[in-house]
Amino acid sequence: MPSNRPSGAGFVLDAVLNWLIPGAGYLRRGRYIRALLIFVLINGTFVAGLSLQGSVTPPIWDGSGGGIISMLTFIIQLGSGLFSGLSFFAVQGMRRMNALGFQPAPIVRFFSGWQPHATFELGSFYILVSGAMNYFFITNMYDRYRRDPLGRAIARKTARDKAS
Amino acid sequence: MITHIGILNIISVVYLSFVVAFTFGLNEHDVPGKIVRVTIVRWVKLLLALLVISIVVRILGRI
Repeated sequence: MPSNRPSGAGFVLDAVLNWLIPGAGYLRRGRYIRALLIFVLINGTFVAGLSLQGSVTPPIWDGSGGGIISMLTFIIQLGSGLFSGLSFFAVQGMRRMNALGFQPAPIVRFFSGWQPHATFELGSFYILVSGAMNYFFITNMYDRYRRDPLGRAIARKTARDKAS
Repeated sequence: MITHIGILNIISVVYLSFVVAFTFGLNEHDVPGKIVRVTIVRWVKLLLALLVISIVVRILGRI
Protein backbone atom coordinates (compact mmCIF):
# COMPACT_ATOMS: atom_id res chain seq x y z
CA MET A 1 0.00 0.00 0.00
CA PRO A 2 1.39 3.42 -0.93
CA SER A 3 2.32 5.71 1.93
CA ASN A 4 2.94 9.40 2.42
CA ARG A 5 6.52 8.87 3.52
CA PRO A 6 9.09 11.27 2.10
CA SER A 7 10.80 10.19 -1.10
CA GLY A 8 13.71 7.93 -0.09
CA ALA A 9 17.16 8.98 -1.17
CA GLY A 10 16.26 12.52 -2.19
CA PHE A 11 14.69 13.39 1.11
CA VAL A 12 17.41 11.73 3.19
CA LEU A 13 20.10 13.55 1.20
CA ASP A 14 18.29 16.87 1.69
CA ALA A 15 17.95 16.24 5.43
CA VAL A 16 21.63 15.31 5.79
CA LEU A 17 22.70 18.31 3.70
CA ASN A 18 20.49 20.58 5.78
CA TRP A 19 22.10 19.23 8.93
CA LEU A 20 25.66 19.59 7.61
CA ILE A 21 25.16 23.08 6.18
CA PRO A 22 21.98 24.73 7.50
CA GLY A 23 19.78 25.73 4.56
CA ALA A 24 21.54 23.49 2.02
CA GLY A 25 18.60 21.05 1.87
CA TYR A 26 16.23 23.87 0.96
CA LEU A 27 18.77 25.22 -1.52
CA ARG A 28 18.70 21.87 -3.32
CA ARG A 29 14.91 22.12 -3.43
CA GLY A 30 15.16 25.54 -5.10
CA ARG A 31 14.00 27.50 -2.02
CA TYR A 32 16.82 30.04 -2.26
CA ILE A 33 15.57 32.81 0.04
CA ARG A 34 14.48 30.32 2.71
CA ALA A 35 17.87 28.59 2.44
CA LEU A 36 19.71 31.92 2.82
CA LEU A 37 17.60 32.93 5.84
CA ILE A 38 18.20 29.58 7.55
CA PHE A 39 21.92 29.72 6.76
CA VAL A 40 22.30 33.21 8.21
CA LEU A 41 20.07 32.53 11.23
CA ILE A 42 21.68 29.25 12.30
CA ASN A 43 25.30 29.99 11.44
CA GLY A 44 25.01 33.58 12.68
CA THR A 45 23.82 32.31 16.06
CA PHE A 46 26.56 29.69 16.10
CA VAL A 47 29.31 32.22 15.30
CA ALA A 48 27.88 34.59 17.93
CA GLY A 49 28.22 31.71 20.41
CA LEU A 50 31.83 31.14 19.37
CA SER A 51 32.51 34.88 19.71
CA LEU A 52 31.29 34.66 23.30
CA GLN A 53 34.01 31.99 23.86
CA GLY A 54 31.46 29.17 23.83
CA SER A 55 31.97 25.79 22.19
CA VAL A 56 30.38 22.40 21.67
CA THR A 57 30.75 20.80 25.09
CA PRO A 58 31.76 17.13 25.03
CA PRO A 59 29.64 14.99 27.40
CA ILE A 60 30.91 14.24 30.92
CA TRP A 61 30.60 10.69 32.29
CA ASP A 62 32.95 10.78 35.27
CA GLY A 63 30.34 11.28 37.97
CA SER A 64 31.35 14.90 38.59
CA GLY A 65 28.09 16.09 37.08
CA GLY A 66 26.35 16.14 33.75
CA GLY A 67 25.68 12.56 32.70
CA ILE A 68 22.48 12.30 30.70
CA ILE A 69 21.97 16.08 30.68
CA SER A 70 25.44 16.71 29.27
CA MET A 71 24.84 13.99 26.66
CA LEU A 72 21.54 15.59 25.58
CA THR A 73 23.19 19.01 25.48
CA PHE A 74 25.97 17.58 23.34
CA ILE A 75 23.51 15.95 20.90
CA ILE A 76 21.55 19.20 20.51
CA GLN A 77 24.74 21.22 20.09
CA LEU A 78 25.70 18.90 17.23
CA GLY A 79 22.60 20.11 15.36
CA SER A 80 24.58 22.72 13.42
CA GLY A 81 26.42 19.98 11.53
CA LEU A 82 29.72 21.04 10.04
CA PHE A 83 30.35 23.96 12.40
CA SER A 84 29.45 21.78 15.38
CA GLY A 85 31.88 19.10 14.20
CA LEU A 86 34.63 21.68 13.74
CA SER A 87 34.02 23.03 17.24
CA PHE A 88 33.99 19.53 18.78
CA PHE A 89 37.24 18.52 17.08
CA ALA A 90 38.80 21.90 17.94
CA VAL A 91 38.00 21.30 21.63
CA GLN A 92 39.57 17.82 21.44
CA GLY A 93 42.52 19.19 19.47
CA MET A 94 43.12 21.99 21.99
CA ARG A 95 43.27 19.47 24.84
CA ARG A 96 45.83 17.35 23.00
CA MET A 97 47.88 20.35 21.86
CA ASN A 98 47.92 21.82 25.37
CA ALA A 99 49.03 18.46 26.75
CA LEU A 100 51.84 18.27 24.18
CA GLY A 101 52.81 21.91 24.64
CA PHE A 102 51.90 23.02 21.09
CA GLN A 103 50.55 26.45 20.24
CA PRO A 104 47.19 25.98 18.46
CA ALA A 105 46.29 28.01 15.36
CA PRO A 106 43.95 31.01 15.91
CA ILE A 107 41.11 29.29 14.01
CA VAL A 108 41.38 26.26 16.34
CA ARG A 109 41.30 28.59 19.35
CA PHE A 110 38.22 30.36 17.94
CA PHE A 111 36.29 27.12 17.41
CA SER A 112 37.31 25.62 20.77
CA GLY A 113 36.12 28.53 22.94
CA TRP A 114 37.60 29.18 26.36
CA GLN A 115 35.95 27.43 29.28
CA PRO A 116 37.21 29.73 32.10
CA HIS A 117 35.76 32.80 30.34
CA ALA A 118 32.76 34.49 31.99
CA THR A 119 30.62 34.17 28.85
CA PHE A 120 31.52 30.53 28.05
CA GLU A 121 28.18 29.20 29.34
CA LEU A 122 26.24 31.88 27.47
CA GLY A 123 28.17 31.23 24.25
CA SER A 124 27.59 27.50 24.56
CA PHE A 125 23.89 28.23 25.04
CA TYR A 126 23.89 30.16 21.73
CA ILE A 127 25.38 27.05 20.10
CA LEU A 128 22.72 24.90 21.79
CA VAL A 129 19.93 27.12 20.42
CA SER A 130 21.38 27.16 16.89
CA GLY A 131 21.60 23.34 16.91
CA ALA A 132 18.06 22.91 18.26
CA MET A 133 16.63 25.32 15.67
CA ASN A 134 18.41 23.48 12.86
CA TYR A 135 16.84 20.19 14.04
CA PHE A 136 13.46 21.95 13.74
CA PHE A 137 14.30 22.99 10.17
CA ILE A 138 15.34 19.43 9.30
CA THR A 139 12.16 17.87 10.70
CA ASN A 140 10.10 20.55 8.98
CA MET A 141 11.45 19.24 5.67
CA TYR A 142 9.60 15.98 6.38
CA ASP A 143 6.32 17.89 6.59
CA ARG A 144 7.06 19.94 3.50
CA TYR A 145 8.39 17.28 1.15
CA ARG A 146 6.43 14.14 1.94
CA ARG A 147 4.98 12.72 -1.27
CA ASP A 148 1.67 11.36 -2.42
CA PRO A 149 1.29 7.86 -3.93
CA LEU A 150 2.18 9.25 -7.37
CA GLY A 151 5.40 10.76 -6.07
CA ARG A 152 4.14 14.36 -6.12
CA ALA A 153 4.94 16.69 -3.27
CA ILE A 154 1.90 17.38 -1.11
CA ALA A 155 1.37 21.10 -0.47
CA ARG A 156 1.87 21.59 3.21
CA LYS A 157 -0.92 23.47 4.89
CA THR A 158 -1.05 24.30 8.57
CA ALA A 159 -4.30 24.84 10.42
CA ARG A 160 -3.55 28.56 10.39
CA ASP A 161 -3.09 28.58 6.58
CA LYS A 162 -6.38 26.74 6.09
CA ALA A 163 -8.23 29.12 8.37
CA SER A 164 -7.03 32.25 6.53
CA MET B 1 23.87 48.12 39.38
CA ILE B 2 23.82 45.89 36.34
CA THR B 3 27.13 44.55 35.07
CA HIS B 4 28.13 44.20 31.41
CA ILE B 5 27.56 40.44 31.72
CA GLY B 6 24.02 41.20 32.88
CA ILE B 7 23.45 43.48 29.88
CA LEU B 8 24.85 40.76 27.61
CA ASN B 9 22.40 38.25 29.12
CA ILE B 10 19.46 40.61 28.53
CA ILE B 11 20.53 41.23 24.91
CA SER B 12 20.87 37.44 24.51
CA VAL B 13 17.32 36.89 25.79
CA VAL B 14 16.00 39.34 23.19
CA TYR B 15 18.09 37.87 20.34
CA LEU B 16 17.59 34.18 21.13
CA SER B 17 13.84 34.60 21.62
CA PHE B 18 13.80 36.22 18.16
CA VAL B 19 15.70 33.23 16.72
CA VAL B 20 13.13 30.82 18.21
CA ALA B 21 10.14 32.91 17.07
CA PHE B 22 11.55 33.34 13.56
CA THR B 23 12.31 29.62 13.25
CA PHE B 24 8.71 28.68 14.06
CA GLY B 25 7.40 31.44 11.79
CA LEU B 26 9.53 30.20 8.88
CA ASN B 27 8.45 26.61 9.47
CA GLU B 28 4.75 27.43 9.64
CA HIS B 29 4.34 29.82 6.72
CA ASP B 30 5.58 30.50 3.21
CA VAL B 31 4.27 34.02 2.65
CA PRO B 32 6.78 36.70 3.82
CA GLY B 33 4.09 38.96 5.31
CA LYS B 34 2.68 36.13 7.40
CA ILE B 35 6.12 35.02 8.52
CA VAL B 36 6.95 38.55 9.71
CA ARG B 37 3.60 39.01 11.47
CA VAL B 38 3.64 35.62 13.20
CA THR B 39 7.30 36.08 14.20
CA ILE B 40 6.71 39.51 15.75
CA VAL B 41 3.57 38.38 17.62
CA ARG B 42 5.32 35.28 18.97
CA TRP B 43 8.48 37.21 19.82
CA VAL B 44 6.56 39.84 21.81
CA LYS B 45 4.55 37.15 23.64
CA LEU B 46 7.75 35.29 24.53
CA LEU B 47 9.44 38.46 25.78
CA LEU B 48 6.40 39.36 27.89
CA ALA B 49 6.38 35.87 29.40
CA LEU B 50 10.09 36.20 30.18
CA LEU B 51 9.48 39.63 31.70
CA VAL B 52 6.77 38.19 33.97
CA ILE B 53 9.11 35.36 35.01
CA SER B 54 11.91 37.84 35.76
CA ILE B 55 9.55 39.97 37.91
CA VAL B 56 8.40 36.89 39.85
CA VAL B 57 12.01 35.79 40.40
CA ARG B 58 12.92 39.32 41.51
CA ILE B 59 10.04 39.40 44.02
CA LEU B 60 10.83 35.91 45.32
CA GLY B 61 14.48 36.92 45.64
CA ARG B 62 13.52 39.74 48.00
CA ILE B 63 11.38 37.57 50.30
